Amino acid sequence: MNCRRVEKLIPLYVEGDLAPGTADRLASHLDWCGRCNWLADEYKESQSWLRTSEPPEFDDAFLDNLKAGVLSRIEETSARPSLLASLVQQWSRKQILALSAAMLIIFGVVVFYIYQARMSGRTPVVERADQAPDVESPPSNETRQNGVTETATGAGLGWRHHHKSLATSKSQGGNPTSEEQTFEPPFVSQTNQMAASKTVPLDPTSTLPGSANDSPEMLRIEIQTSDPNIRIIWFAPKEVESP
Amino acid sequence: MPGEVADIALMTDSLGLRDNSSKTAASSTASVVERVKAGDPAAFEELIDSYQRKVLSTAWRMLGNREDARDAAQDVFLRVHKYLKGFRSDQDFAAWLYRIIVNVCRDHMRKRGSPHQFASFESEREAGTLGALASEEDVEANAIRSQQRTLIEEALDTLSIKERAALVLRDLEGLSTEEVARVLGSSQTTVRTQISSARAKIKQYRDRVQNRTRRG
Repeated sequence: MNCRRVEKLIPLYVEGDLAPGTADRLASHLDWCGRCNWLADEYKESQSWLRTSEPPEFDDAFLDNLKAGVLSRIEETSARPSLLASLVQQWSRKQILALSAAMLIIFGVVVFYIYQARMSGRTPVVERADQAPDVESPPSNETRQNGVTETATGAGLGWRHHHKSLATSKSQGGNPTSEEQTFEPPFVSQTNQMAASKTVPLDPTSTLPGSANDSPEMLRIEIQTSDPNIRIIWFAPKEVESP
Repeated sequence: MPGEVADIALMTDSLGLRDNSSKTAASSTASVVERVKAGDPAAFEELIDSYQRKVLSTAWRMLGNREDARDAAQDVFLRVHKYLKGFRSDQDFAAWLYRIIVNVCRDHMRKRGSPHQFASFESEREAGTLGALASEEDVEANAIRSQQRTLIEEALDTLSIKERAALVLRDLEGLSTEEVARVLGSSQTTVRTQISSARAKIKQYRDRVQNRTRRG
């Protein structure tokens, strides 16, 4: 055991806080090491000095004062009822029932108000989803081409507007342009709903040249799936109405 | 005197030196505790009478001030009254009481925050701590004792709260390391480390004071 280790253990050694084996080894070190022995004596003196401090004498008056203080505080604590108990003591049963009913009504009103606020908060989202295709579609171009001036204001009006412009162009003897054919109805793709279908006259310059040339009038049904990249296009011969 | 008997019981319980008389005292403490738990107010007063000196002196060693010690002792007995219902009869009442004292004193020390004011000789005389002073020799002796006490208090104040609690219980209250660990809720190794560090700091402070005195 070297001096450095002994120095660390001396504070415990002087009061017998070391394990017997360690204490014996330390004692044998102290037998020959004068410096460590001197340090151990210093610690012993320090401990004796610490123990010279006796607590002051507490006279009877001081002790009586302490006891009276404790008992009065216990009395105060036991005399002071809890909030619920004081409410029960002060108020009659009818008053407590009325208070409970009032609190229940207030709670119900608050819940209803929150529910209403949530429901009204959803509407603008739907409107925005419906208005989005109007922004995407170029109605100004159409109106310029067809000479029809309409303003789309509500949900799905853009699609109706397009139909109207198509009908106008048809009635005016004009052929629908390819731009008009590729125009899509305003699907509410943002809300992941299945899109609507649309029937348009097939253009000879369509993507299906063979079949399109064979029959002049075909039904083209487009279904927009929830995936914006997948669109189902279905061509079907148009039924000839019997005169 | 029931107080003295209880004090002896407290010390012997703590030191693990239970002879027949102390066993009797411990059993009487147990019966008093049972009566308090049953709701007997006189029994609680008896309990205060038995333990107030011990509680006060330990609190004073922890806090170093009469007034703080009295406040702490009041809080200790209030906690005893509050939590005694949860005290099991197989528990050691002395260890349980020490734990409360240490916790209350820790709370007081944290609340106090800044270093406390040490009681001077004059203030102690005014407060009646020193008792009736008979002669000039007594006055001088008491003055020296008071100064010594102040120095020791200053030395104890250099310790952290945990170190001070460990040192007070081990060196001044005479508990074993194992008992101190139980009271403080620490391991024995931790307690040994705290005690070792505390003793080193006390010695360091004493050396400083001695060097100052020699130079002065």
